[in-house]
Amino acid sequence: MSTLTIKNLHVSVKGKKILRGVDLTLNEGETLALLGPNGHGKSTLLAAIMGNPNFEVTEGSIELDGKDVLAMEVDERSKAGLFLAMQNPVEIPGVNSAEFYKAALNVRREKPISVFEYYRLLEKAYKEMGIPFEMSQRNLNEGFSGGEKKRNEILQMKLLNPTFAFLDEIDSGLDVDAMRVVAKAIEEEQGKGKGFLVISHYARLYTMIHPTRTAVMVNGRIVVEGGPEIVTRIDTEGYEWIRREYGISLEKLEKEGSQVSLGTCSTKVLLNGDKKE
Amino acid sequence: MVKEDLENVNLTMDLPAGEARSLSLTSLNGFSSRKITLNLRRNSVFVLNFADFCAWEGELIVEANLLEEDAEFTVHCASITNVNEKKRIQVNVNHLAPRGKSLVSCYGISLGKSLLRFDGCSYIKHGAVSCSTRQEAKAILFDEESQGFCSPALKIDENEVVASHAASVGRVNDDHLFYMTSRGLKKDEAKRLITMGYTHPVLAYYEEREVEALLKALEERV
Repeated sequence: MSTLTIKNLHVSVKGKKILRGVDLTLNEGETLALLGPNGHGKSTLLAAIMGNPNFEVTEGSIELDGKDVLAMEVDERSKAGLFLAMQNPVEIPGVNSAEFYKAALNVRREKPISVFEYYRLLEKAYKEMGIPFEMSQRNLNEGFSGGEKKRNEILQMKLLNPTFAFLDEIDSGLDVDAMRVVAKAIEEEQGKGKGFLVISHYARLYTMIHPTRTAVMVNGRIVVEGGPEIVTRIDTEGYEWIRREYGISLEKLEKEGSQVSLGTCSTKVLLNGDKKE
Repeated sequence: MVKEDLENVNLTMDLPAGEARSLSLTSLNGFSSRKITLNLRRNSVFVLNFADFCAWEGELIVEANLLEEDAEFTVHCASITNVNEKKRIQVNVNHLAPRGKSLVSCYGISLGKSLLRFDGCSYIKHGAVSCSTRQEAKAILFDEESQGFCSPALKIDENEVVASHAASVGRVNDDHLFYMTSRGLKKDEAKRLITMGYTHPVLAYYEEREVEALLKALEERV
C-alpha cells in the first residue's frame, strides 16, 4: 500500500508564508476531505505537493513510500503516481488535446501506445465523462467552459491512472448532472483503491464520494482531523466552532487573485516584458 | 495544381478564368523580402502556403486582387522567429467583384528577442456582394523578450457579405509548463508540443519529403 507523508511543511509564495507546518498522511484507498476557509492554504498544499514552481517549500518534507517527493521534478512526480486536478486549468494555445494526452500516456510506457488502442481508450474516457469526442481535437482547455475544464481534468485522471489524485475544487462550475458524472468517475477510481485528497467548500460532492477522513486547514496548518462527520458540521455551522472550541482565530493568508486583462477586438500585441494584451 | 519554388524577389501572377493554382513557399534555403501580387479572374482558385521555419529577416507582402466573380484565395502560413530576427508577413486581399471567397490563416512562434508580425487587411469593395472573407493570426511567445504583433483587419464597403477576423498573442508561461509537466511531460517535450501545434497545420499542404526537411529545420530552430 502506498503512503504519502507530509511532515512540518512550510510553503511561501513570493516571500509570504502560507503553509506553516502541515502534517498529513494519505494512504492508498483513502479519500481525505480537506476543508478550510478561503485563503488558508488548501490549494497551496496541493500545488506544493505537485511541485508548482510558484510555491517555495522552505521547510519540511513530502515522501511517497519513503521517496523524497520534493527532490523530484514535476514530471517525475506525475510519473511516480501523483495527479493534480487543478482549480483553474490553464488554456494552452496550439496544443491539441488528444496529442497531449497521448504524449502523457506514452511517457509512462515502454512502447508508444498504438493508434487503435489509444483511440478506443480516448473514446471510452470521453463517453464516460459525457464530453463530446470532437472536443479531443480542440486545443487544450482553450475555449472550454468552466464545467468542461473540470470534467476534462477528471478525464485526464482516468487516462493517466495515478495512485493519488488531488482534486482542487473540482465541483466548482459544475451543474448537477456534471457533478454526478464527476462523482461517479471518482467513485470508480475509489473502487480501484486509489487515494484521494479532495478540496471542496460544499457538502454535496462529499455526500456523493463518501470521504473516509476529514482534515480542516486554518492559518496554514491542519487544526482538526476526524471522520466524515466534520464535513456535515462545517456545512451546517461554518468554521466558527473551531475558533470557539480550539481557540484559533482566522487570519487571511493567501495572496490576492491574479490580475486579468481583456483584449480589444482583433489586434493583440505582447511586447517586451509587457504582460498586457 | 502547380507547386513551384519562388526565385524572384517580386512576382506578379495573373490567374486566368477557371484556373486553379497553388504556390508552396519554404524558407529552407534562406529567404529575402519580397512582394507577391496575384490577380484572380472569374472562377479561379489560388492557394498560397508558406512554411517559414528558417532564419531570415524582412517582410513578405502578399497582395491578392479578386478582380472577377467567384474567385477564391487562401493563405496558410506558419512562421518562426528566433534570436534577434524581425519578420513581417502581410497579406492583403481585395475583393473587387461579387461572390469571392478568401481565407488568410497565419500561425507563428517567437523565441529569444525576436519580433514576429502578422498583419494585413481584407477589403470588400462596394458592389462586391456575397463575398466571404476571414483573416486570422495567432502567435505564441516562448521567451520573456520575444515579441508578437497580430493585426488582421477588415475594411468593408458592402453590406451583403460574411466577414470575420481573429487574433491572439499568448506567452508560454510557467503555468503552461507546470500544467503540461504535471501530466508527466518533460519541459522540452512540452515546448515541442506547443511548437508542433502552431506549425503543423501548414504542413498538411506539403509533400512528404518536404515535410521531413521542414520538420528537421523546425527542430533546429526551437
